[in-house]
Formats: sequence, C-alpha cells, structure tokens
Amino acid sequence: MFWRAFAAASFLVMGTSCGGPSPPPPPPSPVRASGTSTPAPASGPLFVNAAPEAGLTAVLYCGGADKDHIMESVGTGAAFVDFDEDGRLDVFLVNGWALDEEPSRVRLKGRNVLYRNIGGGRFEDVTDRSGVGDEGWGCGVCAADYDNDGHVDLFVTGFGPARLYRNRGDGTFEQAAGRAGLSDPGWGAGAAFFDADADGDLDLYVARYIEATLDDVLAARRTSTWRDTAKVMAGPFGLRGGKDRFYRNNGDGTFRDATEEAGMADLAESYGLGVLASDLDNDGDVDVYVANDSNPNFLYRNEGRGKFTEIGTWSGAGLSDDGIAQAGMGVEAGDLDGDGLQEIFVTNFARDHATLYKNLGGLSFADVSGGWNLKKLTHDTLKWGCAIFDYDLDGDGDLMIANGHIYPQVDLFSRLDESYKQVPTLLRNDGGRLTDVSRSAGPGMQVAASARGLAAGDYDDDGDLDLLITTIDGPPLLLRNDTTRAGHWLKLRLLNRHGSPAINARAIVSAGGASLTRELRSGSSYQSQNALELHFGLGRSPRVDTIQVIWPGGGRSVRKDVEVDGTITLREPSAEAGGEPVRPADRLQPGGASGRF
Amino acid sequence: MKNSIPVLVVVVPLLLFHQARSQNPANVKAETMDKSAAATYEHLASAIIAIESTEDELVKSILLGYQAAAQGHLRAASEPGAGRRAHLEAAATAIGDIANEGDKRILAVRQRLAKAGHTHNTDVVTKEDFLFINSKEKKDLLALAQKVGKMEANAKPAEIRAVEDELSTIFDKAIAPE
Repeated sequence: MFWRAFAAASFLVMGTSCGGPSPPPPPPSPVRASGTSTPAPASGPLFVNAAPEAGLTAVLYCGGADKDHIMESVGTGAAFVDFDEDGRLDVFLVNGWALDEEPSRVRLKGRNVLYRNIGGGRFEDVTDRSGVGDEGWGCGVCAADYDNDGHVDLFVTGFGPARLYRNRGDGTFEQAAGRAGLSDPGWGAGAAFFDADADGDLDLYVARYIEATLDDVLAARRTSTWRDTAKVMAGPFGLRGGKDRFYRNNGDGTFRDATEEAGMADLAESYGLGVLASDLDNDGDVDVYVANDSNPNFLYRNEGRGKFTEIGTWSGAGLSDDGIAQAGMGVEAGDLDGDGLQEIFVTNFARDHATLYKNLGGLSFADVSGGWNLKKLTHDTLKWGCAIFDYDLDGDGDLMIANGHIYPQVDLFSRLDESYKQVPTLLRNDGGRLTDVSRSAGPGMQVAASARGLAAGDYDDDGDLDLLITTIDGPPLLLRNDTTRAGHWLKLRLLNRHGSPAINARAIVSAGGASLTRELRSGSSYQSQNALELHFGLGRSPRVDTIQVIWPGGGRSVRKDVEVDGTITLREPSAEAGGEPVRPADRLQPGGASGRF
Repeated sequence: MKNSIPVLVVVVPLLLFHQARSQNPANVKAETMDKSAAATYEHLASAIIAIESTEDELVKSILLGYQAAAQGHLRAASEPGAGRRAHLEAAATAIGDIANEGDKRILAVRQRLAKAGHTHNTDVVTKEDFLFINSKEKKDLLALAQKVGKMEANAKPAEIRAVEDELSTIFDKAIAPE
C-alpha cells in the first residue's frame, strides 16, 4: 500500500513537470520480493526455464527435419514488448512453416503468437483476439511506435511480404504493411526502426538474407559437405544474396523505399541477417550496423539528414582482426568497458569465434575478441541471438549467446564432436576478461536446443533481466534470472513526446564513481526485440548520483540523487522547454512501473 | 587473341559438329572421331586457359584502378584546401577495396562465380577466393585503410607520403608475378 501511494506520488511529480498525460495504474505485483535491500554476497548465476509453467508452449517451426534448404535453418525471432501498456512485459513469438520431407511439401503454417503477461509469472495466449496470428512464414521482429500514436507497433519480417502490426491501443492490432508501403516480397531477416533523418518519425532498415522462392526451398537437396563428413544443405555461398532495404517514414503512417537515395544500396548482395541501429559515435544521429553472413559487415555512418556512407571495411568493424569476413548472425551493442562508447558484439558460425569490436571513438573499432577471451570461449558453438546485460547486477555488462547448429546431420557423426542442439553460453565480464559461467548457471542454461532468437527483459518485474529464446521446431525458452543479487538496480522507461518509447535515447547513470551508458533500441540481437526499457546493475551503490538522458532530438534531462531498486519513467521535455532543469531526488516505483491501462 | 576467345569457343565445336554430321557415318572411322574430339577439347582448353588469363588481367586492372584512385586521393589530401578529410576517406575506401580484391559490386560478381563453381586461389587463412591478395597483404591493407580513415584533415604531408609509400610497397608485392 505504501508503495502504491509512493509510486503514484512519484508519477505525479514527473507527470506535472514533463507533461505526461496518463495517470498511473498500480504497479504489477512482482513474482518475488523487490525493493531496496542489501545485496547478498556474490554467488553463481542461476537461470531456470520457466516457459512451461508460464504457459509459453507454442512450437516454432522452420522447415523440415532434414533442413535441406538454408531457409529452413534460420529460425525465428522473439520480442519482449509491453503491447497493452500495463507495465508488464508481454511476449511475441514469430513463427514459420513446417515442411514434410518426402515428398517435400508444406505440412503446416505456424502462426505468430502473442502472450499477454497476466502477472505471477504467467502468460495468456491472446493471439486471436489481438490479431497478430498471421500465417506467413515469419522470421524476425522489431518494435517501435512508427506512427507516433503512443502505442508500440510490431514489424515482422518473413519469407514473403513483411507484416506491420499497428497497435490500436486497445489490445488489438491491424495489419498495415500494405497500406504503409512495407509489403515488398523477398526474404527479410533482422530489422530496426530508427529516426535516420531526425525528423521526428521512425524510419526502417530491413536486412535481406537470400533471394529464394518456396519452390527453391521445396526442391532443395543437400549438396554440400560439412567438414568432409556430413552431407548438408548448400549455402549461403552459391546462393544469391538479398538486397537490404531502407524505408523512409513519410510522416503519415506510410513509408517509401529510400535505399538508394540514403546511400544504402546493398551492391554486394550480402547475406544480411542482424541489424543494429545505434548512435555508435555519440554524435546525435543514428548509425546502422549490419551483420552479414560470410561477407564483410556493413557500418553505415549517418552523415545527417538521413544520408549514409558505408565505412565498414576501414572502420575496423567489417572484418575480424585476421581480415576474415565471418558469418555474422546476431549483433548487439553495449558499453562493456565503461568508457561511454558502445562496443559492437557479433555472433558467428561454428568453429569460428564471436567477435567483439571495441569502440575507439569516431566510428573506429578494433577487434578485441582475443584479449577478452572470446576466441577460445566461443569457437565451437554456432552462435545466433545475443545480449549484453548485467545478469548479476554488479555494474558491468555480461554476454549471453543463444546457440544451435544449422545441420541436423552433425548428430550422425560422433567424430565431428558437434551437436545440432546446443546449450547457451553465459559469459561473465570480469573487468575486460570474459569467463564462461554457463555450466554452473542453473538448469535453464543446460537446456540444449537449436536456438536462434534472443531477447532480454525483466518479465517478472523483480529487477533483474530474464531471457527469452526461440528454438527451431520447438517451444521457446524463458530463462528466469534467479541469481542471488550482487548489487542494486535501476530501470528506466524513457518516453518521447508521444508517450511511446524514445528509440535511441541514451541514458548515462552515474553511481558509486562508475558511469554506465545504455541506449534504447529497436531490433538487434538476432531477429529479436529486447524490452524497450533500460536496465542498470549498480553494484553496491545505494543511490544513483545522476541520471542524464540524451533524447533523440538532442535535448537533455538530468536527475540527481535517485533512489535505487525501482523503475523510473522519464518523459522527453517539450520542444519549447528544450531540456529540463536539474532536479533533485526523483522518487521510484518499486519493481513495478507506470502504465496507462 | 583474347577478343576472339568467345567466338572460338562457340564456332569451333559447331564446325566440328557440322563436319561430323555432313559425313556419312558409315565412312567415319573411330580414329577420325577421336581426333576430332581431341582437337575440339584442345581448342576448348586453350579458350579456358586464355579466359582465365584474361580474368587475371581484368582483376589486376581493377586493382590498379583502386591503387591509382587511392594514390590520387592521398596526393589531394596532402594539398592545402578544403576536402582533405573527404580525400582521406576516399583513399581509405579504395585501399579497402584493394584489400577485399573488389568493391561491393565485384563481391556480388564473385559470389555469382562461386555459385557456378568458378573459384581461384582460396586463401587458407581468410578462405577468400582471391587472385592476388593473400591474407597477410589483406591484413596489412586493412590496417592501412583504417589508419588513413582515422587521419585528421590536417595530417602532415610527410605522414601522407609515408602512407603512399607503404601502399605502393604492399600493392606492388601483391600484383607481382609469382
């Protein structure tokens, strides 16, 4: 009761100063106790797969059992998204199709699934009533409010026309891709909304993997040989790459293909998968990084006004330090070394390492995978979704990778010492050196699957980040973080002037002498969407000294002397205000959040 | 000679085929057929070898173009005036194109060739299917490209000349005959 009054008072304080329109609902009950407490001594990580008990049981399909065509191996993505704005993270899962092998034909068309978080660690399937149960062969998802109506929408890429689910704000969606000009045919993979031209609406980048038809997929035969042993699917070499697309938002709910005028023509026809839209040089505009499979990765520098120059090769982030074009799958960014610049983390194929590009500033990067121990720790697995998150709240970013092979045939040959289903990798950041703590990270981390998508979010509102993972031809994993806390935490919900998540807003939290930087992003990981809120592990710092928010339009807000172990909602100041004065002691909502339902 | 290769590839087999058809099969001895087939294959082999040589020359000329562009931009960047930073970035891009043995359009062509099974000297380290640039040269060129891309607009002419020299050394070694 105290906390409810406390939260309401807090919201009113912020709402008054920032023009927030909506009254706060009571915060949802956390699954476990939250609130300020003394952190326990550090112990090992503990993750539990809570998907079955939570009701996340939908099977996610992707082709046939033998995976004769590469389309059948890419899997699908997932999103943590609060679609109904009740303060709890809901779950959206992209689904594909299942194929029979002999004869090769479509067996069933999987439907996307939307699970509403009903609290208590449980979800209910609201696919039908929400209107997102499309039967297209889906691939990836990203989320943002593209039409500035205050509600978070979903963009779903697929093998075929994409889907744009416009959130009506009443718990339902309408499929608006055709009307919005986003229903191009082709095979879309990763995607991200971002404001490329600083005009106040969100544009869209879509990576495209390979040019193929359903007939190609059904007719495919395994013609390649993996490690001189197993007969496996061909590709991506030998297949024609798809051309990525950039769509500019017209400001009226529609988009136009502006790929060439923006300088983003994919002349190399690279095999695009992961998309990261991030202000990597902190210059106030959003750059785009594309993880390409078996081709140099792209880094598009935003020149302002929505024009881009591709500088991947000479930025240092296009290839590995050996000059190798790796098989890029997923991509994430985060400040791992506390210098205020975000590193780029890219997942790659098996028998090759995941790559960490240290941000040197000015869009110059250095592959530091060796020094961070990634070459050794990630060599064997086939890596996809990824997250930079502070699982133990000790104040630095750790790494999580979803693994899984693309060739089921590796299970037939023990000498390959590989498996189709693989366990995930959790890497603890020990001050610039990574330690693999996966095998002592609880039963959830020991679940072997051919995993693909990965999203991070605090679905149970207990202050630590949980993980949502998709698997091929199986149900998702919901890895609840039950790790004993080694520190305090803070969550930030950054809302723009329309009341929706302020995509690419950046927050710098200073606490206990350390400075932590996070950016709110649409897309990234592998075809997935992290929760649209920022999470900070604070270590033993009992208070936050300052929170500085840099809004997408360039305005800044500062809060001083902020309590920890709660969620705070900050709203972008009005254009006239241009920024907010520094104010003391904002109050927190413990564990829960402000919402509008 | 090189210009006539495609014509040879098409015409020679056609002539031989026509010759074989115009003769009475009963009078054609097996030995003659064997000779004809061998001659046809001989011509085809010559054509294939010549085409491969042509491809070598074409790729070399493409690389020479990048090299000339890079050197030109570096020279321009060492001159006073506006646009020095843009010239440095253009030089970095051209050096990167040498490192990748082709720009993005060439990469797409190479993927098409790979699809058809046409490959070259796949590098052991990089697995790149390059004709001239080996993994060490690639690494050196990428480092040089990054260095140039990071240079300030007011970089000293001597620094830029040093880059020009380094580029020439790597490049000349890369395209030199084995």
